Amino acid sequence: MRPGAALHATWLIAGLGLALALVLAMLASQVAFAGTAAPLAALAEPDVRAAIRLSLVCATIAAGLAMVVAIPSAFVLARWRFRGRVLIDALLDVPIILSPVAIGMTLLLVFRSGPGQWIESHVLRFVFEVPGIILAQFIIALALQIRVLKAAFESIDPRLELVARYLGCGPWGVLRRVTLPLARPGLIAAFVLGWGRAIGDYGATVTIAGTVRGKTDTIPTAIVLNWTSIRIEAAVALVMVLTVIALLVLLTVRLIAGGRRA
Amino acid sequence: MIEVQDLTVRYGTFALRDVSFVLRAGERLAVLGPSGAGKTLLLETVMGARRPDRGRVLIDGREMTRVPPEARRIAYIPQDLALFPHLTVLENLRFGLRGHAARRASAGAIEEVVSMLGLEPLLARRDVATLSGGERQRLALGRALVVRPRVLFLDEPFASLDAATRTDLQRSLRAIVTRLGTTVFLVTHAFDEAFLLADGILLMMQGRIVQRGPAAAVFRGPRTVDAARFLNIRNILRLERIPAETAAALVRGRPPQAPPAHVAIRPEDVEIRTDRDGPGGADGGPGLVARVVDLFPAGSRVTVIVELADGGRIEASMPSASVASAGITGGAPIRVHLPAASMIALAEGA
Repeated sequence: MRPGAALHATWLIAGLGLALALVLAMLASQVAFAGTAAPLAALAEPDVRAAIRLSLVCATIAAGLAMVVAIPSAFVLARWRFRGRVLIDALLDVPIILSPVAIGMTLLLVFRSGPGQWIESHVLRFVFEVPGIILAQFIIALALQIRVLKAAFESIDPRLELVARYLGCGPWGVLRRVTLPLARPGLIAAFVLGWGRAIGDYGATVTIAGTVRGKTDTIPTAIVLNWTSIRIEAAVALVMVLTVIALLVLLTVRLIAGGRRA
Repeated sequence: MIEVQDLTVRYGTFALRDVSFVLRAGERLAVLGPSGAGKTLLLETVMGARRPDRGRVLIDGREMTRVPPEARRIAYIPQDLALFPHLTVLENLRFGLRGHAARRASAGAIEEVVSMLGLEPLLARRDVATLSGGERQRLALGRALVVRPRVLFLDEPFASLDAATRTDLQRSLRAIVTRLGTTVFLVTHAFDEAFLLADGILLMMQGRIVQRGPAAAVFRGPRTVDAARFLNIRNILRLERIPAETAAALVRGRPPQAPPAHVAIRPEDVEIRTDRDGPGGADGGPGLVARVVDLFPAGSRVTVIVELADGGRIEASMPSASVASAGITGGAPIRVHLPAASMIALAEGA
């Protein structure tokens, strides 16, 4: 092997090795610190179980509702050409870039405004309540889902939809029989990624819903709550739960992507 | 029947202008023209995928401009066929039967189409991605014909096939649409395909229809220089460069205000004579003095490039055996005869 090629291969392998070592070190440190018995015991505690349950419920509702909005939004951005499309596209991406704390703070400002206070009083309470968690996670999931779905819709040949219409399908029929089935891997990936992003959110959730133990503490907020209360085993148990969830989400997305390539 | 009246469509800087024609029920019409002539834009506008800026499209006497595609009862096969990759072969074939056409299609519609197109062996296949080019083509055709469309729109559907498969499919398409009495609107830039599949031809150049007529008539008699070039008639000469008696024969009988500016002659109609052949020729004159510049074998024929005394070049196409027997080789002095009966008078431009 020429010296240049050997150096190149060494650089590639060293980079990959370092990245992998960092992640493995993080995972190993979780187990090394608390072992497995103490965190497993902590998982039986009512507060910890409540945080996990609330996280699963809120993230599922938020990601599900976000899909209802993300599908038409992404379809319009992928298929229609209109003035202002680029601006709208960029605006919908803002929550991806914006810090989650800033999103939570913005939501608080919304509910301090006149219309926001009216909603709080007459429709549904969001601030320091579970609907607030769902709303924050909805916004965080939505932006990501729109991005994933837009790419999925753009990858579908519009001629397929046109041919389907000439074969007698109305717009809803085309969506149901052609577009959505073809976008299925993208739909699953969008939901899973949105759900994963929602369940891992701390900043937006804590800003709008606070950390009311047993009421609004999700896994990330419960981690901080337990850590600051020096209940380290419980905090590590929740970190491990979050790590397993992250791993499952990422493996699911990769399996979907693999199936698509096949 | 389709009636297109004064259609004008703008697309960026390009525009179709004042296009009008009638396609009667059961007829097969090919829109023929070079790339960029506006053929696909015309097809998309006629079938309703685009709104015209002006003009009307009527199908069976009914204004169709604002009718949604699913209510038109027409079928469309694009260049890439657009088979549904998430459906099996049978699901693709049956796709249209769940829509409007289900009410009209007889129970035996699928069986009839499957039998005509020889699709039986494909029905057990699940994944359309595993089909060959010809099989995909037959399936796309079957999917379109199952719904018994009022008009079948085809946009260069055979472009991606090898020559042998293309010819087979073109012939079977012709036989099937003739048998079913299907009205066909075909867009193509391949004139052999247009002549095989269509009764009539709309020759299109730069967004306008420049000629319409029966396929053979358009092929034999393009009216303009651009049309002749597109039809691959290689010899296009200014009128003053051909023998005076031939030119006089061409101009005779034409209205005095419209003398032809150019003439064209197909290479196979050009006659080449050498000293061995003796005097005389198909044009009855002495012929034009020339010499052979190059020879290109083309299957059983040879394309002979000759240079006239004034430097102009003419192509002739001769049987290989004749070239050999006449001793036609590079640099050989010859005489070129251009029979007036084979000359096509052309107007300037498109």
